[in-house]
Amino acid sequence: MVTGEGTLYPLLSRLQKDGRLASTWRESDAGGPPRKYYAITAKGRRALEEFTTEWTRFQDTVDTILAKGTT
Amino acid sequence: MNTTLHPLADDYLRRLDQAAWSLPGPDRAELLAEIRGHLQAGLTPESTDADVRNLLDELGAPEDIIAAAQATTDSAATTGIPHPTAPAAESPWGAMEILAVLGLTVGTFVVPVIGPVVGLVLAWASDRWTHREKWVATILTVLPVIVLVLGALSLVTVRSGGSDQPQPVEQHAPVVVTETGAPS
Repeated sequence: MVTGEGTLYPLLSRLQKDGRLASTWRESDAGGPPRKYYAITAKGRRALEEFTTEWTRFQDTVDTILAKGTT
Repeated sequence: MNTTLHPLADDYLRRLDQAAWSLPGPDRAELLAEIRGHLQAGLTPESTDADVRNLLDELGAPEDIIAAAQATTDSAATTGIPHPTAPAAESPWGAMEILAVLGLTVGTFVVPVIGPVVGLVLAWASDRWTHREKWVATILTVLPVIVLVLGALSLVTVRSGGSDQPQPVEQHAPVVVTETGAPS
């Protein structure tokens, strides 16, 4: 799905627009360029839990079908 | 924007900026700042051309990044930003629909029977109207006809039933209609 690291930035931007991530710029200690730090929000955590539930259900279904195929 | 990195990295950022013309202004600026930050963090003054090329390869082609950002902007409909073409596609009024309504209304008077029938055919052929809307159009067209026919029937029945005929004759009311309707 992600072809290069660069495509990660639009993805992060989208998650932030959806309110699933929050970000802050911070000065780096070593005198380098400022860095952007991302953190998951409560909404993001809910979305993650929903997806995890959904994914587990999907995985179980596929596992069941594959198990039937082998027997 | 002002600080220069390695020439290869600067060239990459220039290509990215050119490819990003289709993005909304703030998105474009933010994306460029982030990629620039990524490059700045990954490069040192000692970085060789090979280091820079490796870093740029890992980032991916500028066009791919813009395509990903574009997909994000396009799917922004879910976050409340309307897609420019979405309302037009959802409009229930195309040429066929307007003709259908004209056939069902004006057509009734200009070309009786044929007008409404053409209107109904057009209405049912429409891919913009829902099944429910098509039924509403059909019922609205057919209902007045049914009411008129029933009204005429009841008038005829009252007229013929008004004489001293007993009830069994009323069951043959439609037959009576055709008999009295034919000469007039």
